[in-house]
Amino acid sequence: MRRLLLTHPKLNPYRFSPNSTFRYVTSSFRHLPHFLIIGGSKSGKHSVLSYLNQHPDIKSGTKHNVGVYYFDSTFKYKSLSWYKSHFPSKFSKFKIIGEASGTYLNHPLAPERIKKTLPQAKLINFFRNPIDRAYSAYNHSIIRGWEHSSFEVAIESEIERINLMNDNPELIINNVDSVNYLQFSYLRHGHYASNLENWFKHFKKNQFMHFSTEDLDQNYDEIMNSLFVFFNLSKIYLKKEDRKNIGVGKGKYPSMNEKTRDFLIDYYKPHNEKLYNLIGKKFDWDK
Amino acid sequence: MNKFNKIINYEFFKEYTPSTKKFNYSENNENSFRIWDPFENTLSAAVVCGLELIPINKNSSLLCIGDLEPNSYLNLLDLVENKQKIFCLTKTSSSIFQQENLFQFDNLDEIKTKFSVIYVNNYEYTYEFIQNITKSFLNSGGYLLIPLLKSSINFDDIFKKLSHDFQIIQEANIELYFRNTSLLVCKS
Repeated sequence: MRRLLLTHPKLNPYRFSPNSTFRYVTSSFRHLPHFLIIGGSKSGKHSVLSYLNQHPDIKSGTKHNVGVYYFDSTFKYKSLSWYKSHFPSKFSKFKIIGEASGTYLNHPLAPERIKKTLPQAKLINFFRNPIDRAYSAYNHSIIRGWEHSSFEVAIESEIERINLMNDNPELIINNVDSVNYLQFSYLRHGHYASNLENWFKHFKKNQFMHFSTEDLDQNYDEIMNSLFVFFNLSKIYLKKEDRKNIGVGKGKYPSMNEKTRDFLIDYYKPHNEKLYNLIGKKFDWDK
Repeated sequence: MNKFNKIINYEFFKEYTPSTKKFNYSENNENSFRIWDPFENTLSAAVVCGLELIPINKNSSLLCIGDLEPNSYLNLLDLVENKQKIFCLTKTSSSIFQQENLFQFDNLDEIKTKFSVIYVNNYEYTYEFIQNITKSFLNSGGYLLIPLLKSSINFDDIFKKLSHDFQIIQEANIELYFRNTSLLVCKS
């Protein structure tokens, strides 16, 4: 009986908590998010949300995390009530609610799912130099014990996988919701333009705002206030904050091999050009 | 119409599960997909956990080393559309080996051909064993699918040697179903 209870996904007593049950029961009185930070992963979500939360009318992120990752990894298993249970109630002081799940941008099914659930949502992208983003994601996987190859071997493997899948489409496993699909896409998460094109099929361009993570340190005030205006809120004076969630785990990692960086600059050049044309903004990434 | 060897997400009782079309599919049979049960073997777990590509199709010749559940053999037969012979090195007898394209062996000396894919569903091996089987039985450009126990004291050593001798296509993390385990897809 004990084994049955412990292994059952709904009856397991350790999954029960008064707080989550209360939130679930009151989910119909809770907000759905007004904005989503959809990309990218390893691109400064924690810092952005920390700035946004300085505004008295905004509540972004959840109690334990910056995002819920509902529309990619848990969509099949969890209900909309579960998703709503993460957000403040409609009686709270907050007018604008949001979350940041940086993997939505890359997920092929996320735009369609979000369009059905949150058709009017405002969508924000923070694009980080894809080379630094890939290296950061790789180091994240190393710390978690998911990856054991060197960075060079890992990207070589990914390029080989991309080539194999292009040459032999019948070998592709159609299982996009699995976690590994997101974990081992160091390079493909940086194909911002091709990922964004999928979103533009479902949402109008005026629902988006795009920034670069590199600008955040210098122009945080300008970026955040343009977001407040985007949300129809008043501008405020923002306090400068240190970047959040950097080097969590084993501290700062060693810098990238110069040859690898040069290779990746060439690799990403066409993808970056495509992005600049798509959003009408240019970032200083090609060096 | 889905092809036989294509793994898709098929809806069973409102749950989507990676599945393949059964090779013995008939038009009257509605339940014509076979699910990949991640608890059965490391390859099924990797398919569920996000293996991006599986290098087995109707032209693949396959050598399986280690015990598998009967359903897992059928999964592999689905992938080769029951058109290729699958050689299984196992000492466990089962009625599944009455299938026309499944051949059971209990000694590697009995096998005389080379294969395009070798799948090892066994943790108890040494690197010398891997070298021997790949040298003797794997075509050049063929694939080796092998689970690695990350908590093993030999892990770093075997991983380094594998990375040196093969190109690692993907290291699929299957910890959800097999504790501390990755499945490596290597190309020779």
